[in-house]
Amino acid sequence: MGRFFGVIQQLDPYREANNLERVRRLVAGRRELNLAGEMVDGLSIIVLNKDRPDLLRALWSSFDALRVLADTKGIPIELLVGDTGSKDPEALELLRSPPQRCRVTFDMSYQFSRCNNDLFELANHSVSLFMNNDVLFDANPMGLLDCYERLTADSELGAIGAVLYFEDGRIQHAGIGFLREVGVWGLPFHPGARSSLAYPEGLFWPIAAVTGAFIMVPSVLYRALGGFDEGYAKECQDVDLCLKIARSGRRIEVGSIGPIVHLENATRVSGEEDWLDRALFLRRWSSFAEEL
Amino acid sequence: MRRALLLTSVMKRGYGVSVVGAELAARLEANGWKLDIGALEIDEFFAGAGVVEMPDDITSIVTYCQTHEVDVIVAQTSPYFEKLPILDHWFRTMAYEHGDPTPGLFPRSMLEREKGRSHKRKNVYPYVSRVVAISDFIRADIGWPSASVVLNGCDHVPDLGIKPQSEFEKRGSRPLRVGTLMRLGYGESYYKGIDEFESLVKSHGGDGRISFAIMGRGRETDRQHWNALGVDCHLNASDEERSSFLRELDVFISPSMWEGFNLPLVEAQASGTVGLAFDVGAHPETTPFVMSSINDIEFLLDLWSVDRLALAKASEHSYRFVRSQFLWDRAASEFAAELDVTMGTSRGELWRRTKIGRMFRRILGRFRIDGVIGITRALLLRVFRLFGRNH
Repeated sequence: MGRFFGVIQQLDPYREANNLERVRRLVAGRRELNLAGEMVDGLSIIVLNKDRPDLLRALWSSFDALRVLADTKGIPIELLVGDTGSKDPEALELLRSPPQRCRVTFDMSYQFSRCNNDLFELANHSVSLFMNNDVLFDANPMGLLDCYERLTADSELGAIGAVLYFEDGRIQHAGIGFLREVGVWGLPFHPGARSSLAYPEGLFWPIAAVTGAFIMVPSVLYRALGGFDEGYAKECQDVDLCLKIARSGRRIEVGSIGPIVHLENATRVSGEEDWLDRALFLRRWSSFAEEL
Repeated sequence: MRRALLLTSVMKRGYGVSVVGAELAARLEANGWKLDIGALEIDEFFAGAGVVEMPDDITSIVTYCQTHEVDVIVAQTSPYFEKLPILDHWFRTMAYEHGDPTPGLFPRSMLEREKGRSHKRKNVYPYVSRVVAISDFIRADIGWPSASVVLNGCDHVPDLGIKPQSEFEKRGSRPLRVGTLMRLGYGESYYKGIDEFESLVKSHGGDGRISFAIMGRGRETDRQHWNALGVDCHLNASDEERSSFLRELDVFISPSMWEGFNLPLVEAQASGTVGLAFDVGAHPETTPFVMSSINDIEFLLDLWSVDRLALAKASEHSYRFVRSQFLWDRAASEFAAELDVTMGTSRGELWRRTKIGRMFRRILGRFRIDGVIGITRALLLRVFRLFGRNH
């Protein structure tokens, strides 16, 4: 059994949150996501970016390739980019001249959940893909459409993630599991990460959760769940969303859709752990995760 | 066999502390302890073997314990907590904390309540042999990190198993039956979430997809109030009615804003009904379905009102969670281990045993009870009696 009083004090879910604060947070409620118009079939890709013209250039060309493929399949797509404070002139230039069917929102103040939710409110399509700017899908843009078709064909499916690789070919992400050791019980981890396992392309399998670096969700479901929880400052909002999906009885899958590269922490400093987020996550989900 | 006395304010049906006392008492003998229970109020259900009326004065408690050779005194509620530091001069003592609701939830009595909590931190916990909490949340909430935790059980609820799939299918044609169990009346509404439940009823009760029910101790006016809102209200039910109510629900909601454990939530889940509760109090420990907002509850009710298969899965999840985590045998064995540790507490062990040590502790105890004037009066009385006898 996962008891809350663990060996890592920072993970004690009650240490930094007294009950009155928890009540206030609860009473404040969560954000209602409002849509600009009616959702139509298709795929909205939502990406946050800051500087990094190299990544933007890759995104523009990959999206161009994807758009052509989507057009041949009759799948409407759009790209919604949120700029969270670029200063780099080259990046700003690229953001001012986006590809077709791409809209850029400037002057966003970075907070992962809030910014993604803001962009989602601008989305027009029935499926939303939240993707990090350091995810490169130029080697196989078709993989994204495979995910879209799989998600729209199965109403029991609540979200799809992708196997992501480091540049050297090792696995960066192949789904998320939960630790079962005393003291860290219920804490998310990436099984198989940094291994050189080879997954056959086209293979999808059920998993407890997937990373927010690449997560495709039916827009209706995302909206009904309130999107990414803005109560998390930096971490765990993606796993929180996945568990809400799982709690609604839907399946989550991760799929091998070709060499999708995730540079990881290209725009965020590595080692910036947020213990409050982790403690909050454990408080809300470690009991649920016991039966997963 | 060693003997302990559990002091609690009530031993009456419908009170969580009474269930805890009775379940532990029934199982502790197998772990080498006999547990007597002393209470201020007792109803006919609990009256009888091992449960006695116990005024909250030191003399009565000490007399009982000396007569019955009690080894450890355990306080479960106020006003007995406050007596423990004095009793600790004669006996080993344990504060068995079920917690106090967050003072900030009571605007009118906030300061008084805060004072009560602070008093225990300063004047009770440091002076007892052991502090035991009923959840990790309570350990943090009482501000006593060295407290041990003994979780309650749930297997006093008859185990009818998970509800079969066919039952959910059969119920699919009728509205989703959503209910709660709490003490009714507005004296309770500060933290029990009555307002939240009522707003849920008002927003979802009229669409025909969901029907609401409430059970609890209350008055006829409470029934009239809930009936006017279209809520099926059951007052002052028996244990059997309570079990059947919890089993018959499709979804149990606890809208409470503070709970040290939440026995009704656990009982509902043990009855095969999915239990939803907010992310407050000890709920993260007692249900897998922790809601971060009222919107989370609304989403699940909307979903389950049409998808009974998803409801069946969630109900099974809840059932398995509580039935595997909360066992009275385990609780009794852990509680007995805490009593054993309390007996073996080394604080002042040798000093306590000496004749002079015992005398000193008695004088100190009387000093704490009666003060200097009281002690002087008692001494003078003894002298006069002695004088009277001799002459």
